[in-house]
Amino acid sequence: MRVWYAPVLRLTDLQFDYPAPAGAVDGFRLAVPLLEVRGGESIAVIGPSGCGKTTLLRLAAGIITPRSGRVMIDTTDLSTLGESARRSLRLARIGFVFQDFRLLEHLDVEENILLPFRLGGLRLDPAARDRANGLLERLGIAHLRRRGITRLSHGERQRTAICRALVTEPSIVLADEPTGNLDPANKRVILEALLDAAREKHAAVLAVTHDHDLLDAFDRVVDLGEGLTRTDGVGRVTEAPS
Amino acid sequence: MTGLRHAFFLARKHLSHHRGRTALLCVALFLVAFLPIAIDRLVDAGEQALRARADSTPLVAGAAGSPIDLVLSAIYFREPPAATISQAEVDALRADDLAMVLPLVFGDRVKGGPLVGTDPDYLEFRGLEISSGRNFAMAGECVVGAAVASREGIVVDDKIVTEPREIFDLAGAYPLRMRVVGVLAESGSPDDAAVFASTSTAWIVQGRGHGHIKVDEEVDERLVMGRTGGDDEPSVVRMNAAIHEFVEITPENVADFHFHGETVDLPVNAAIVLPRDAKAGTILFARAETGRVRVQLVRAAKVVDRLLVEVFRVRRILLAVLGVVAVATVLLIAVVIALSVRIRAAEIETMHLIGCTPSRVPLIIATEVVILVLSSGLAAMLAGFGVTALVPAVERLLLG
Repeated sequence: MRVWYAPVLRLTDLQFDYPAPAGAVDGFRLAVPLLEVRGGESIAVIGPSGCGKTTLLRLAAGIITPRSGRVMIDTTDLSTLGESARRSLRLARIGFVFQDFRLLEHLDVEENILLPFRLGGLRLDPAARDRANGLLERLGIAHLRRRGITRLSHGERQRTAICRALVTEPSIVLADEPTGNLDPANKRVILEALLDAAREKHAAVLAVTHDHDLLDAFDRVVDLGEGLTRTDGVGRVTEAPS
Repeated sequence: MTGLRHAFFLARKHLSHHRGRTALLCVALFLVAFLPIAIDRLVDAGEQALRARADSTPLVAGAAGSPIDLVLSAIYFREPPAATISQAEVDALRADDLAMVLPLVFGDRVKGGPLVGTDPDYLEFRGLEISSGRNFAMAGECVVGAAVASREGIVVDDKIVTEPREIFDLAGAYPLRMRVVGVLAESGSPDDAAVFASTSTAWIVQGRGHGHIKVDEEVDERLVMGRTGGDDEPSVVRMNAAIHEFVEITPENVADFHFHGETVDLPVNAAIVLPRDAKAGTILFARAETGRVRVQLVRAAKVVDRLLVEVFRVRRILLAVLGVVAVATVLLIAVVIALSVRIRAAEIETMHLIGCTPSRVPLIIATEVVILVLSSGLAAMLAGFGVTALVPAVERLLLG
């Protein structure tokens, strides 16, 4: 039985207006009445191209601000934070996984994983290195620790990106088509590796995907095209561990 | 502090990953910093060397013409001045014991260095020490400068042959084989690269004096082109020009060497004049101006000062040009960095998405620039110190 913890992301009455394209009178509006993601929970966001999936992730991360509504990360309302505080919160509480991996080619695998610490000006203490080592083991790429990014396969790159997303022990991982660049054999393996590693850390996963074959791996599916939320599996809400 | 350390780490990693581009930027920055330093140091060092040599050469006498050419020829033994004075003028300068006069006859070369015909007193005047052997005393003897000796591995009692003057002139003077009687200690001056001998030796090398080779029974008959005369008249033997590839003056044949014409008419390229005192110097200048001695008499230091004014003007122009080039290079590097930032847009966006502060990315890029500038600047500074070692070579290149 899967265990879900207290909500780590809560979007309420969220509205975001896209600027009207040239020649058009009205723009497109993304509306999310309520979306709550609990610790340990995984949610797939699906929908046709242009329906606002990536925008939803960017709103959830505080990268862009909504016209109205609230975004709560843990107990923090992003609208109350300035740009600098939002970035700090993103660094500490949110992990990112991208379709194109977005690893820095001039760093090796371990250095890429520890990048959030360096970007945040945080101390690279033994605990941080231990966490990185644990994730490398967990994702099965410990032997690639010192390897350059360009010498990795796509699967290995995405595993590295997953390690980077989880190394700060975030509350939630936002994944934008994490399996989009992988071959069919690798897709499920990598997705399950992400979800398992996140669950182990009690982190939620909100993932945009076009791979409908993989939806069964998620706890819930949000279809932005249909505007409905489907709940699979049985979950129960528990308090986050102290 | 931790943030700065991380920025330095990321900057260093980025620069070392893009080695080619980093090396190119470093070289460009190095040149921008190094060239003005190098020019400044070379000109300064050249100025000091030139001034020191000129300051130790009170007056220079020579034929009318460019005083700069005359002085540079006299102190660096470069190309002789276009016109010469005669030995008679040298003697005239010596009249009344107003000055010590050191004639300089040069233009020929031996073992890659100039052969300087002068008085034996020249070595003492320049403070040159003989590290082995003795000073030259008779025609055919020479003293070799330290640089020539070490380059050619010459020691006392070696024989060295002057370089042919005109290899296609069958009637020309043969090279002279000279005996090395002394080797000079290193002085750090152009004298190190010269070979010193008497003026007679230099004139013989020029073909103004010669000896006669005895054709006896040991001569290869194949070189004999014809014989005339008989028992009652002196015999004349005509020999092929290949009879000897050099001539040599020895104590046995020195008496056979002679000059055609009067010795006082023989040419002297320049003369260093050391007046006994200021008054003697004034008298000599007066004699030169009134034509009592038919020479151009100049103060070496003043001539060099005039030359240096031109050198400094050229340096200012050169530095101004380099300044413009430096500004253009820096702007170009700024464009390269700006373009590189655009190329790194995805990387920078990733950093922002992950949550780095707005100042972090500029800090990393600024650190990269600082590393480039500091490493290039440091290399330029070290190379600037190294330039001093090149001064003698540049001096040789520019001044012969």
